[in-house]
Amino acid sequence: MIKLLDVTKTYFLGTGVRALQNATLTISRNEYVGILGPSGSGKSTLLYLLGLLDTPTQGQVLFEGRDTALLTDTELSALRGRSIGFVFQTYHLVSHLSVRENVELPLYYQGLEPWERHDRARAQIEKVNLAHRMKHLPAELSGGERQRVAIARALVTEPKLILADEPTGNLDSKNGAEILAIFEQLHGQGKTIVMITHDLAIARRFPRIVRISDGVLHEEALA
Amino acid sequence: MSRIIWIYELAREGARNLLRHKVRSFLSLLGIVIGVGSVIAMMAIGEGAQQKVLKDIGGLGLHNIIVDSEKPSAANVPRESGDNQGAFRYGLTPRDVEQVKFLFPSTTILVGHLVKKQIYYQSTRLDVALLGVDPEYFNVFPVDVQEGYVLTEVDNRDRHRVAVITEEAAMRIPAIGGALGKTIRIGGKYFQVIGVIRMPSGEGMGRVFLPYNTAKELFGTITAEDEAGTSEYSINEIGRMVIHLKDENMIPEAAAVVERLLKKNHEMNDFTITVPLAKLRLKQQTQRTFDLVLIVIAAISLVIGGIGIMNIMLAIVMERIEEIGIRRALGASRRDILLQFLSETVVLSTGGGILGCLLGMVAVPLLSRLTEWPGVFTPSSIIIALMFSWLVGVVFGIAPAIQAAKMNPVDCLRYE
Repeated sequence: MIKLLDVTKTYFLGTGVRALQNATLTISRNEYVGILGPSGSGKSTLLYLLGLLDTPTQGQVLFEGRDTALLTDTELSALRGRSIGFVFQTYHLVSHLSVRENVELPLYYQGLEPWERHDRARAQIEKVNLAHRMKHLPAELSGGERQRVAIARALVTEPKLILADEPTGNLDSKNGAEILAIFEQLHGQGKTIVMITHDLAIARRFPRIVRISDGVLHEEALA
Repeated sequence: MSRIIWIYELAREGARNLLRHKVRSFLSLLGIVIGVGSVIAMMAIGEGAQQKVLKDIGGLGLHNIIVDSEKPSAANVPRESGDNQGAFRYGLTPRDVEQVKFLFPSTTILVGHLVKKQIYYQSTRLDVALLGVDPEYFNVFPVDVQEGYVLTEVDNRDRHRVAVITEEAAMRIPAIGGALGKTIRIGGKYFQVIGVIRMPSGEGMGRVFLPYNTAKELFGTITAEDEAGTSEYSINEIGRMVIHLKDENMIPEAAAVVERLLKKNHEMNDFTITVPLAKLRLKQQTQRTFDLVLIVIAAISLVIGGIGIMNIMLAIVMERIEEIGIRRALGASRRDILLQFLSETVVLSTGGGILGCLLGMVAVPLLSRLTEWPGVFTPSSIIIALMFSWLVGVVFGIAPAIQAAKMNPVDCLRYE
């Protein structure tokens, strides 16, 4: 599905910091992969590269066999909008848009008519049991509810790949468990999921784990 | 998605974002509002001034060259000998008229007979000028007949004792039922008012017109004036000569020829030439200068307004960095982000344009009242103002929008 070939990412913040070094990683269809590492280890950088939000300093990112470096910004954005769903630790909901409008956003960028966006967003919100919160603003929701909105937003485009950056990091254990249950259910439905975490208890649930420290990847098979 | 829905949604989204910060949006608009308002007001006043000039000067007839006799102030004027001993002769003469006729054979040349007599209605003195004119006069000058008729050839030929008076003169007649049909007294002779006219001219003072022949026969060419206890006699044969040319382009040259001719005939400076067309051209020249100043002021105020908008848009971009990152992650391209912010600026500046138009509409009547300049609205001024405010929105909105579009989505998402 997505492949990193010898990817290095360097940030130039005064002196060059290597966030990722010579990383090679293949994520296949319907995989459920956990990326584990301490903060500052480069795991978010890895996720953004997988999500086509960032471009590597060196190396190649192949999405379904296509070299993403050859795509224009518009093509890349369209690919991101259609094929990839993001879920973030801090939810990243647009604060002045209602729940429904937040969920509609990716459909807007696909150029869907307003009524079609409404219908699809409504259906997706109902799936995460937030129909009664449709017109609320994110600030009026609890953390767990916000993350469910974010998940609805990630799923509304029916993406092939879901990238989650510590989705349970800001939640209590009860809400966290609920969110994880949703992800496992999605995996069961055939979605490809890559999730960042630093919580070992969660990590145990992944069939495949990639450890990262100081920008270097280590594959690890957990029993 | 259809283009109309797309534009509508962009505009609606822009308006919504701006309405979330009403006070800030309004304050950032003030520059544009005041700029557009002053443009509208100045255009209205410029247009009003132009129309007034056209009305004043146009009333004299743009195809006319008007030569008036004028009594010279100089004391050393030649005196007549013989019958009219002691009287002095001034102004246009039949010889002048003959010569002008000879130079311009195919043009209409009218003469007026200036009568210096007081005009009374019963015991009320009207205090207006009196002119004996050829009936053709009313064709050459654009007059509106308010009541009754103007003078006819028959009136002139048969020396009828009738008068046509201007509205201003009619207003001085304290008669029930208006001036029409009333009898006025001039130098002991009685005349019936057969018409009331409006002269749309700068000369628009009160005037009474008699048939040329009637005036000449009854009052002659000699005027007696009492000055400082002594009577002085003066002779003026022709009070006014109007040369009416068909071709506007000939007027400047014709005026020069007439002036040269008259200067040769007259030793004294006892005539004035008025060329309405030349006056109009001069006024239009002034108007163009005024227009230029107006354009510069408008440009400056719109640039200031634009900078105000740019400033606020830069702040808005900085405050929505996270949102930019989110939108990029959800599939928005750079172009989408650019358009989002640009549409917000355009909505802002268009709103400013509309408010500015309203301000202008309120300001013009007020200014007109304060300054007594007429203000005339033209729909085109509103369209021009709106287009300019729109242009300002695009020009000054593009830099912040580009800045937003260029941001790295990852940096945006990490931004706290």
